[in-house]
Amino acid sequence: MKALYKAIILGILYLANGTCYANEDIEKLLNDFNQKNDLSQKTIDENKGHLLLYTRDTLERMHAKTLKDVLKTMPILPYNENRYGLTDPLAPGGITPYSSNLIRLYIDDVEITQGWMGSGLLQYGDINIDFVDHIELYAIPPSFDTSIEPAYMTIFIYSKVPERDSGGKLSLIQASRGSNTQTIGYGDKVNGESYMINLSHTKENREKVSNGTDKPLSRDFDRTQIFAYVKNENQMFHLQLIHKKSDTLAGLSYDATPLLSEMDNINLHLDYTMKISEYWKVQLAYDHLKTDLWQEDNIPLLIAGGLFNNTLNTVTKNSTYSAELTYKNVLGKHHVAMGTKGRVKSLDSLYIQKVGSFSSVFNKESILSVFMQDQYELSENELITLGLKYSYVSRNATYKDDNLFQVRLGYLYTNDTWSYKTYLFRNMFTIDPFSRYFSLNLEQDIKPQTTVGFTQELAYHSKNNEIRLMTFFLKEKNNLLDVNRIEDTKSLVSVLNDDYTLDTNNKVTVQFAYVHYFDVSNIGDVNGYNAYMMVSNAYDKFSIYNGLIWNYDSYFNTNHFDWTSSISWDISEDLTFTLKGENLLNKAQTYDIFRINPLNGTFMTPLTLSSFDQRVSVEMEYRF
Amino acid sequence: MKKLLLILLLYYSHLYALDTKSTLNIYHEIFSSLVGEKNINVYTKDEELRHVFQYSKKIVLSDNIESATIIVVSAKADLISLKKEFLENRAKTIIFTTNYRLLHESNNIVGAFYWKKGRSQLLFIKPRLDKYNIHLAPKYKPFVIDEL
Repeated sequence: MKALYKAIILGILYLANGTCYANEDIEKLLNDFNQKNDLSQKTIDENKGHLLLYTRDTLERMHAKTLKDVLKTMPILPYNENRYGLTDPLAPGGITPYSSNLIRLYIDDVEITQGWMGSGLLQYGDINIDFVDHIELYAIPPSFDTSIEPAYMTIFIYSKVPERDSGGKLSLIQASRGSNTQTIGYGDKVNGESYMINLSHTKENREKVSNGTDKPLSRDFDRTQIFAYVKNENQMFHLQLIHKKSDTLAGLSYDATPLLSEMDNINLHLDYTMKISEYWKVQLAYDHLKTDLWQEDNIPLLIAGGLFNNTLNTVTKNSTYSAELTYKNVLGKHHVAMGTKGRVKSLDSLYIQKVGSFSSVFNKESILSVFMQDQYELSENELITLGLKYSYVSRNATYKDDNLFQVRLGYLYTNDTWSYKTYLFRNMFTIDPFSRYFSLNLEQDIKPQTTVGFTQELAYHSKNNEIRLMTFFLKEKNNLLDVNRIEDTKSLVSVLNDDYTLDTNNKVTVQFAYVHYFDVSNIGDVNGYNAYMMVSNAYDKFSIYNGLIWNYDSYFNTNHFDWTSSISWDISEDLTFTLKGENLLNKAQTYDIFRINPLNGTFMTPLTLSSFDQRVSVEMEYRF
Repeated sequence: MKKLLLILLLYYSHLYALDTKSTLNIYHEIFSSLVGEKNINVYTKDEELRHVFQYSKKIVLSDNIESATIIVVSAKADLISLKKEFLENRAKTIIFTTNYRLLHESNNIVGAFYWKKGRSQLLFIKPRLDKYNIHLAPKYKPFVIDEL
């Protein structure tokens, strides 16, 4: 550890000294080339929303291995897990199966969804990102041409391309508590056809959570993941498969003392995109999720009540079919996008041991959307944008249908140094079908959430510096996270982000976020503060990364610090070793799992735990 | 002036198109260091590079290897076909690559400009430069290695 500290101090001193190695002229040319030819420069669409960008260079500097490593540095809705140990940034700590349906995940511009169970983040929130080139996060409010279902935040993951990552790569990671990951990938371009395949296996032994019994809560998992694509200039096909067997923490135990709490998920995603012409594009996608759930307690389980007593073993299968047709064209000063998107979420089957096949009357939810978006050039530097979207959500059985009307009006200005954008919008969201159907609160008649918001962003760009100041004001009616509340909820969010590139080898990022929730039920106003500082240095064959996340919550009056540090050694052009420490101070952000005393129905002291383990890992990367 | 189009939609344009100005700047620097001529005849089958090089006032695109001063290879298939032609017809044309892997495939390739972990890398191999009697300026010292 002392050696690591020494290396970090040396790195910081080196940065402070501002020394440039190699010739400055060539360094400048290389730096300029890197910035202007980064793949993100080809995929970013500023009008998708307020952007937070993680370039390939940034991901490599962070030594980010999973999506969780990235999402935990987000200033808005950072990574969090729920009662079941699954990714769920909006989880309030209660028993809701999934709360983050408003956050949508895309890979290569195709949405990944769990359909009946919610958005793709549920299964993909901590996936291995060895296949990823860069990640774009668009906060409030995303443009309508990208999403089938309404979204609050969109996460766009873009995969590596063989033009820049040809050949193969093998990665082996050994980490604390016997955790390990093996990844192998290969990509190439042959006769205009690009292909890539990436396989990974992770055995993660997470920190146990003491619950006062001799059987602490576990969230270990074993995951095998396949990502593959083949594409050319006009067509693209993806295949993704994830098999994850995991312990589900407190699961369905009232008092968080399960005798058995396990889940086995198999998730398949297929998609096909075709450019019909210069203006038209069609996209088809299929998602399937099979979930085996095993729950057992010495008292009746949470969701099943008296019906299934102390044990529950179910096998659930659900499929999602998505299709969209979009048109984009430039007509004079109008940049027009329009189209139609549809999705059917089907609960294919639900088998309950000892009961047999369970025929659910509510087993289908369909969404049909039409949208239109115009971006009108007011001048060479300004544009005004207007988007309209209507979605019809239909549900079978006695469940009510929803009509969702959404509108977004925006103004964007940019010059060589400054840019400004502002949006006024109205979005509507619905809860995922699984939560609607299985909720104890019988939420089937829950009304859609309506969010009205006003956002602004001022950015300054120079050759080495990029500063962004974002402010969002949001007002929600029928907030899906607080379904019993009658009054509107309001929040104010401000984010300041500064990316400073000293030279090709040294970079600093500073980020500060402030969130103010007005009049939270039974609490009053609550403030949240979040900061992230990243320093990365490279010298000769060594690369050093230090990232510190700070969180403060005025309600609990607690400070949390998550320090991640890594050092990489390029032994040769093909071989790299990395030592990485996560949550080194063991003071990372925590969350609570609520517990109920089954004997009298009163709340017990909640269990406090962190989504982020203290962890040390060693990695070997070999390129061939 | 920063073009407003940069913040607009991409309209399904070619995803991996190179930025012309910054790409020409770095290739002018690399090629000038290798041959030192005012106008440089370059042969490449790489469509993206060909597209960028057509805007250059220093680089002249060649349609055949005989008239080229520098050959740029990006794909293994191009190198295989080139090897045969090269051995039969020419011996002195400098070969440069945009693919690090190809440095292992042929000892005739003097250097590479390629991507690694999201950052561009410039690399020359000294014994191969010596073979062509190329002496790079001292500023290139950090980019020259003795062997792979």
